[in-house]
Amino acid sequence: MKPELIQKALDAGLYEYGHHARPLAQKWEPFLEGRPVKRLVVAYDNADYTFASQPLFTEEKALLLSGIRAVQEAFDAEGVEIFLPEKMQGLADGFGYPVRYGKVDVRELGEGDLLHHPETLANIARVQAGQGPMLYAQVAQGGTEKTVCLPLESTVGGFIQAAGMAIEEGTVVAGGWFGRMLTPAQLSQPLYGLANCRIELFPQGFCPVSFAQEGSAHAAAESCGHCTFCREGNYQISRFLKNAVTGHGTEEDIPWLHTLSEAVGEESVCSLGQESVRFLREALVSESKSFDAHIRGKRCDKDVCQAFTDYAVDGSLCVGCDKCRSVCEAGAIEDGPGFIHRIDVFECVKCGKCAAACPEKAIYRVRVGRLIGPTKATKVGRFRTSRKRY
Amino acid sequence: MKPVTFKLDGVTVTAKEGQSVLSAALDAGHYIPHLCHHPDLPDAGACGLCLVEVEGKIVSSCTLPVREGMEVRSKGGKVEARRELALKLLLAAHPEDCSTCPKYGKCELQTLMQYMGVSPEGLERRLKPIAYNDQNPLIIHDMMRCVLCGRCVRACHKVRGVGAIDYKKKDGETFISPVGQLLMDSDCRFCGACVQVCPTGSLMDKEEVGDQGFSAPCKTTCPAGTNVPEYIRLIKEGRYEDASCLIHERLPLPRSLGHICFHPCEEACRRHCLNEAVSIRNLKLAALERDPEKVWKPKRKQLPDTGKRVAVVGAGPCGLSAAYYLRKQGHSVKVFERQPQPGGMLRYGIPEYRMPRDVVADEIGDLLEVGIDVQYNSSVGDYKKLAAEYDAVVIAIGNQQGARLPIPGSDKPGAYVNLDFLRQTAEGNPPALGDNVLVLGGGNVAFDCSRTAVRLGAKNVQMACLENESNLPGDQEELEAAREEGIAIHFGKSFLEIVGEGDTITGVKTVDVKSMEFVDGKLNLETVPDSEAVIPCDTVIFATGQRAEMSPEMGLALGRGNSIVVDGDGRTGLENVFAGGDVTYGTQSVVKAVASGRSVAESVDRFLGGDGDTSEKLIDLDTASPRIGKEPGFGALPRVKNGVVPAEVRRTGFMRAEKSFTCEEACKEAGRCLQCQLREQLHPPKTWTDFEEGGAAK
Repeated sequence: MKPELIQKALDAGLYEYGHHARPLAQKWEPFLEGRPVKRLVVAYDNADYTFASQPLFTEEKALLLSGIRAVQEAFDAEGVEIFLPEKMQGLADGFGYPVRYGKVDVRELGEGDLLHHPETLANIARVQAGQGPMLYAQVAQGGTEKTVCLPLESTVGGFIQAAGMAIEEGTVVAGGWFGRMLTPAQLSQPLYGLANCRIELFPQGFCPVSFAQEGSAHAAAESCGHCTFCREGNYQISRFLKNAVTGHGTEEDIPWLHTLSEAVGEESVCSLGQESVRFLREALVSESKSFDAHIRGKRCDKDVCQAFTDYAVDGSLCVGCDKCRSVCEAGAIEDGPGFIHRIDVFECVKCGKCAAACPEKAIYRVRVGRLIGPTKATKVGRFRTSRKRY
Repeated sequence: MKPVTFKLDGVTVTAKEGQSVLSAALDAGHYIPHLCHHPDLPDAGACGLCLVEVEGKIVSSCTLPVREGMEVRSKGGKVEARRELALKLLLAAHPEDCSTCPKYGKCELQTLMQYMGVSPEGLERRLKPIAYNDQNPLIIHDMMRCVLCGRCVRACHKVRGVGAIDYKKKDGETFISPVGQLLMDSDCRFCGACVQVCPTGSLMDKEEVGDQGFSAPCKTTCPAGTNVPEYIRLIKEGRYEDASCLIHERLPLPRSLGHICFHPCEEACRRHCLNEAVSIRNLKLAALERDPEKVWKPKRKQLPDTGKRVAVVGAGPCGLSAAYYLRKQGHSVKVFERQPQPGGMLRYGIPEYRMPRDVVADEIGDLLEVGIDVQYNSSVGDYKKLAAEYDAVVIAIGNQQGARLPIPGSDKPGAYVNLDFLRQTAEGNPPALGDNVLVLGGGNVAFDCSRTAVRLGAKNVQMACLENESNLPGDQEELEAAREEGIAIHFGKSFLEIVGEGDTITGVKTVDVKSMEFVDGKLNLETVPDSEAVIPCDTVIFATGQRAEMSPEMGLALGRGNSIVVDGDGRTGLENVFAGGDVTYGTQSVVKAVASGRSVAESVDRFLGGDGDTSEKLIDLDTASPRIGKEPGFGALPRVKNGVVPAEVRRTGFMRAEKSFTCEEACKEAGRCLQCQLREQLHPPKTWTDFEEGGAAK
């Protein structure tokens, strides 16, 4: 054992990174008291899906390797094993340690296994080299994603800024599908401790029900399938939420969602199941109105859930240019040129390509059933209505 | 290890240190519903049924170690509600209809459903899109019914160390499947552990297992109940003497049987579903040939003398077996044998090239040395007289009378009968044969006759039988050996007449068989019209069955084929007269005869006041390791063939035609065993009613 290496990390007050964050002093306690380390396991949390610190396996490979070696030597670990997600195939090939792909089966971990997140090991290496600890995060908005690495204590706002993004109003979610919605005040708090590795910006139109639905579908797909609650619970949650966002929810679904999410979170053995319902459990309480609106009222107040909205052509703006009709793959657009276009809602697949193609911005989403254009073939200019959005 | 006590629902439970709360509770007879837990597997805490509440938290009790003084609740509002939720979730992804499931009534999931009164109402039901798969040998995979308890995977990985099956995920659906495409290419050892521990109808045996539970079919099929799988294991481990001891526990004359047994164990061997059965008979012989000191002998049981006297008639396999066990039970035994030497069919029937006479003499010597008096050259005609002189009589005279078919010409001097022909040959006085011998019959005795005729110098030996090749009563090995020795076989022939002027034979007139079946033991034969033909020959040997030499004047009730009618204990109509072997059930096999002899000995022992327990322990058997490990290509390992003497050499005399296994061959062949017996170590599914009746500890 190399006590000086350990002492340095402890003096720096380092924490284990990830969903099971806790001071290293606490995590190392049994090993410092004499339990031998059989294996150092380097792994992401099972709940992780963004792997923001992926550069540790490429650009910062030397740093990560020195962190692994430092801990291995410090605890005289017999072996090292690296677990990587499938999508990081080959990234640890040159490390000289056995690599396994997929989720960590926590049931296979023994008393002698010391498990560390790659970011923790990198920070141990940084501290050994006299540097301060850092934190990777991915900032995302719409289709854009940017990974930044800042000093550990950096605020949420700091990460957003470093990624070259900004948000005036709307919603910020930290931790992605398994995270939480932040209050404006939390933007000036350090990201570390609030959530993991992903900050998602929704300047307009954030629907917590739809977001929770995506998260539960993801969890159901990612579940290793060993635990009943994680496997079947997330499947059922995703079905209930799917019904909610497609207008098929029923009154009893809300208590089911409460019961299921509580059970999945409490009974799962790894972070995937435990964290998979974190967002839902908070949102069911803080955003209960939104769940009510979807399930009872059959509406999405943020116009995110497509089942409750249709694309429609504003009859007062359309110039009958035919551009929308030429991009529509579903063949759902009628009339033109010269006539005001109309969208057949039964054919429409709500892909939005027409709206993007329209030079007049005459196509937008309206609540199902709302009329903003003519009901029969009408020449351009012959339709008048107020252009007020509902 | 010091005991730990804790409270379960207010009741004090004592547990072993390191035990889980669940297993401690079950041991103490307190049922906590559970599904993925199995007493012989490491626990996984996966199914969510064995939930208990401890210190305000709801946790799986199977992975919760007992702690002194802990208070555990398995009942009550929240814990039960959550357990019910787990079952609801499982049921929502399980087919609704139990009545069409082969596991109906024996399914642990069904039992849980009944016990907890839960249905998945309110949840979305789905059927897992996993097709029924019967492409694998022995095991059916119906994973639509799987609840992913993972027992099979743990059994395969943790208990067996094989790892042929595992969790897989496709299109969002988790399922368990062979790691390769099929079990054969996943290095499966086909031990059946996965099937044994499956709580539902997901993993099923292709051949249904009875209510008695699974036991290795080689062992259960052996008439003598020889512990086949374990002696194969001992041979694999090179422990030939131990194997010999184990074999002798159940089988007298085992080495003789190693040469000639018709091995029903091999027909039952589950490996035949993969490729070929294990060569069990040759393995047995290999072990017995490597026990020169006969280490089993000193451990033989011998009860003190009872003063009772038993007469055994017939020194064949059945009579010798009966005499041997009766003597060991302490009775004084006298055997009456018509021939000058003991052995019956082993000596006077089965030809020497199959059954070496020194082996027979040696093994019979082992039996007789326990103190059996044999009176040779002595025919018994009056059983009543014998019954009056002895406390009990056992008739084991076998079937000694060959049958001539009732067809014209059957009494010509050149037409012989199987048993006479074989006996005279064995005595060194074979009857004169012509150049062209035709043996009528297709059983093993017919092969013995024809192969003997070849060895006696007949130039052209043929066989003709009623059956066609696919339902030939004789062994396949015999057919192959006979063909190699140049014997031609006419299948599907019925015999009409032995033709020839006066005493001469020029051929046998036959007619082709269209179909044949036995109805209530009677042959129904349909022949092809206008298909009469003559097979030319100058000598005929009838090998069409044999019967007992009994007559009604002997005072015993007789049944079909002159057999003696006995009850299940081998009792005849006379109070102290018993019978066993072929004379009671018709011509069958040596192994059945020795088993029958032993069973009659037990009946007689009980009749004479003994306990009828002839069992003996010749080896303190260690427990087989459940961890069989991985062996690439195991499923395809071919059966090891023992060497044979080339046909052109063995034709010329009565030297042994086959060779025994070498050590290397024996080890290799023993390694092909599926070790089905290991499955018996694993508990079959248990339901909550088992706990109510007797408690888990029972």
